[in-house]
Amino acid sequence: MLILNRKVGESLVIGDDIELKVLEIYEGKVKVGIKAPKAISVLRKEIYEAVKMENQESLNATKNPLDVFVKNK
Amino acid sequence: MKIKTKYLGDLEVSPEQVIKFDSGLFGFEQYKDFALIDVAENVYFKVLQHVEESYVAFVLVNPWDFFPDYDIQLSDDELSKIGIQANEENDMLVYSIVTLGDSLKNSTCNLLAPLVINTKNNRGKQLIVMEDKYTTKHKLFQEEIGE
Repeated sequence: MLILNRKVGESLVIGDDIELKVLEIYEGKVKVGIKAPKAISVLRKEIYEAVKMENQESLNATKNPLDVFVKNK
Repeated sequence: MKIKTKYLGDLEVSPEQVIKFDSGLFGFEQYKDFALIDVAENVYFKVLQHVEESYVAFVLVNPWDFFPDYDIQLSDDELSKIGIQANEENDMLVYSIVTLGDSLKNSTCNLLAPLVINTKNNRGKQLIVMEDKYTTKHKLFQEEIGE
């Protein structure tokens, strides 16, 4: 992993069209501004991981939805 | 075409039933072509079945059937990736993935990351909603109902 030091107000440029700017550092939190093309989606990693895990878990279900939905309805 | 399904045996599906998820689902980016299958015995859920890998099948519900107050905002930029423009919302279907438990009471619904399908061009995408209040696990039924 590439590690760079940045101060508030300074930026990083990734490729031609992505810019990350450090806007504020306060009480252990960094506020980051992101400028990127609309086609690039930006997500908090923990949310992305949670959705991935849930998709996996829903596939792993061993019950047949017919049994669960029809018989319990 | 005939496909092998996870829950419903072999089925004949028409090309119009096949939805293309160009970027797959989160964690399942390699699976792009899914058939959206109605289940004759039950109107409350559908199965999103990958056309080749039978074990890749998701159980879907219409989130508003279970969560009438579900209120989400979807990014116009994300929607435009499947050809949905802001003034064409009527051509869009929204489904939530269910994680089945041993009963409906123990089953949950992912309200954080619904599937959106553009019915005009049969393209779909899993999106993450902007609202913080939704998570990947909402109980389909509260304790007192569904007994």
